[in-house]
Amino acid sequence: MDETPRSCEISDEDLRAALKELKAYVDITEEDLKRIYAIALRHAEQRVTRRVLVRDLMTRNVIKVTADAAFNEVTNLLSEHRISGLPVVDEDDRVIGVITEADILSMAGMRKEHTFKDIIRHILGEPLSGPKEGKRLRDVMSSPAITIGPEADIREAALRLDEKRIKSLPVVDDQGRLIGVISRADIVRVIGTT
Amino acid sequence: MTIHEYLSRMKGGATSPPRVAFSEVLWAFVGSAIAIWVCGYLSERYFESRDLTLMVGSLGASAVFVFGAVRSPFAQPRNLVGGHIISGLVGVACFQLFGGTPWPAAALAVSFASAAMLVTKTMHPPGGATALIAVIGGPKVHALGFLYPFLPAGLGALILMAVALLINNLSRNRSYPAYWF
Repeated sequence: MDETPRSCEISDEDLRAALKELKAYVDITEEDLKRIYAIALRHAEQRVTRRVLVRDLMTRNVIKVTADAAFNEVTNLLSEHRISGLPVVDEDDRVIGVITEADILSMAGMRKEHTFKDIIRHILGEPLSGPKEGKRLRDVMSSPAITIGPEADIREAALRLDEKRIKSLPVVDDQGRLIGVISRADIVRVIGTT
Repeated sequence: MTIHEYLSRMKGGATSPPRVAFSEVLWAFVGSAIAIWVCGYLSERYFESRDLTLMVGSLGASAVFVFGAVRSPFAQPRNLVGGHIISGLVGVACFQLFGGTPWPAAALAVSFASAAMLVTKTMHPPGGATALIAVIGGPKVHALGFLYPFLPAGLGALILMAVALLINNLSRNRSYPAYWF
């Protein structure tokens, strides 16, 4: 048998009672009825999961920076909120890019010979040997940002996160204005709780 | 119940179940071919010389259930064998009691067979044919008397069951029986 029945809340007695209540002869065994119920339940669950939208899961209080923010402001925000990246917005709250830990590290002139300690030291303010100084946030951030709309399915968000190998997506309205962020953690959480 | 209510019941409303996979069609074809073939062979080889037979029309209907609707309660051993024997007994009894008036005897044979199968939880639709044939099957069937429910009906059903056990369980998607008794 391809479909093994999974545990479901309906008991054999329930099905027997239901068959009895129909009064007429029903051409099915309780066992098959249970299998059909379990399979149907699985399909229903999939359908419900499919309906979860980005809007329902996204974080609305977005931590963001403007393009003229200082680097230490960015690093402070990242470490304070324990996040890996921030959307960069213009005056109208339109997302123009994303700045991530990786961007900061590359900005810091991270090279293979630099130890993690060197990088931290640099981020804390000491210049690293051979750094590329004088860069602006605008030059370092990833742009254009990979974003998603609020009405998109979370499956689509998951696909995009996986494809681009990123950890979060800014959620933007039709005008490109930032309204939220959806992260891998948000999607993982919803799968864990349903 | 109003007339409207009564008539609206005739509208139905449910959808017919989906078509089965092609492999199921193939297994139904192969299974019933082998089963009826075996019945025919055994009948000619061992029974017809003794003025008996294994080939009774209702076995064709049984083969449809046993190989075409494997999971149906109708197709399970209890129903298959029980249904034929009980209906056969009812049919022969009806012929012997009311045989002088053929149509009522035929009608009663089928209706009593249905009722008996429902009550004994051996519902097997081809049993209705077994009961009917007991009345309208002609002198050869009538001569069998109360042997008819067991031979050809009961034994034929047992042969179908044996072939079903061997054939149905070869298919990846099938298992037979769902229950024995």
